[in-house]
Amino acid sequence: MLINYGIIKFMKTLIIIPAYNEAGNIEKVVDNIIQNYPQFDYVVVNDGSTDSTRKICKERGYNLLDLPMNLGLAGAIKSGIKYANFNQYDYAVQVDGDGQHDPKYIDSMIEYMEKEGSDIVIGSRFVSAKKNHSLRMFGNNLIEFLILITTGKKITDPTSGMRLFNKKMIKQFGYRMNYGPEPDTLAFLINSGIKVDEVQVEMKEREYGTSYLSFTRSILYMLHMIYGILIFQWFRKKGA
Amino acid sequence: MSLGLRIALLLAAAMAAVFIIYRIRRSKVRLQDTIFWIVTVVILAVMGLFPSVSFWAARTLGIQSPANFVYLMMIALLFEKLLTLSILNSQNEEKYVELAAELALRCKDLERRIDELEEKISKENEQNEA
Repeated sequence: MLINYGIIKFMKTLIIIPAYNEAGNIEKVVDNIIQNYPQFDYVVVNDGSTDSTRKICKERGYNLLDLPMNLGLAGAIKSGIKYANFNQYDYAVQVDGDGQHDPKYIDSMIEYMEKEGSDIVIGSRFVSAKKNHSLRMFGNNLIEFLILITTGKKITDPTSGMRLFNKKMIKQFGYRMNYGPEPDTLAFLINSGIKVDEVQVEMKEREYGTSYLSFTRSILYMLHMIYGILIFQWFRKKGA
Repeated sequence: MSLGLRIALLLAAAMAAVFIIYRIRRSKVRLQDTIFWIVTVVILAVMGLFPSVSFWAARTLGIQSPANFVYLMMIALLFEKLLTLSILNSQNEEKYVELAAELALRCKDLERRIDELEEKISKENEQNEA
């Protein structure tokens, strides 16, 4: 919040919660935001769940954007970002529906964005902490390396799903093609002169349900990222 | 392999490359859909630049002339595209059925609720008048 000569300029922040079959987690995640972070608005984007996610949200009276079919994570985020733009939010932050992202870090992310003038702030697990040695971290390291050699910028946690966008980014992510909420878009944006920064956060493991990424999907995801960062981004027009 | 065929291959590769890069720059195509065309451009260019590749492949596969291998490659590429397009088409068809059904259900639900509200309001009005 900024206070200028008695005129209170309130910066509106929206938490976007994509949810695909998150019946076991969604209640805890949303109730936590409603009770402990009333300064933020939120929207649950139900991505055509086949379990009782939609029913739970309706019964609890959550603010729900209910997609009529499954669009995948990118489509769910895009819908949430469009909602943010439509309702004129200044900031939009992506928080996973499985409860692994703690909303307590959002304030420090916004603070950092205002202080440094960033366009995107990533909630990173590894700004000051070390990565462990697992297959998942190998993928994370590989993408970090690809971004480093193509942009010259070190993004310690490029696959983090906790990202804060400013108004300019809300417009771009909501309405342009090939702006998936993924590392290849980050690489392209950094090369287009967009300021991407990171703030240290801690994440929890999901309690119920399964992640979007299965093993085969992870391999396809990695191939997609390698192609997107190493080849595709050079054909794109900067700022388009 | 004749020089004419090699030039034709290189021309085709160049034209495909220009077209696909133009589409990418205009943001008219999704990343996933560009992979096939980039691969096609590379295959055409390799066959045009290095005829020895076609000679080797023709010999290995027992094809009489390297030119025939080039045609075989083109057919294989077209076949792959046809297959993915056909799958994509049936998926899309299924999607729009699902979308229409889901939208009809939701509209029906909204109509029901509006009817309920209208009934409630007219009842209240009647009571007030009485």
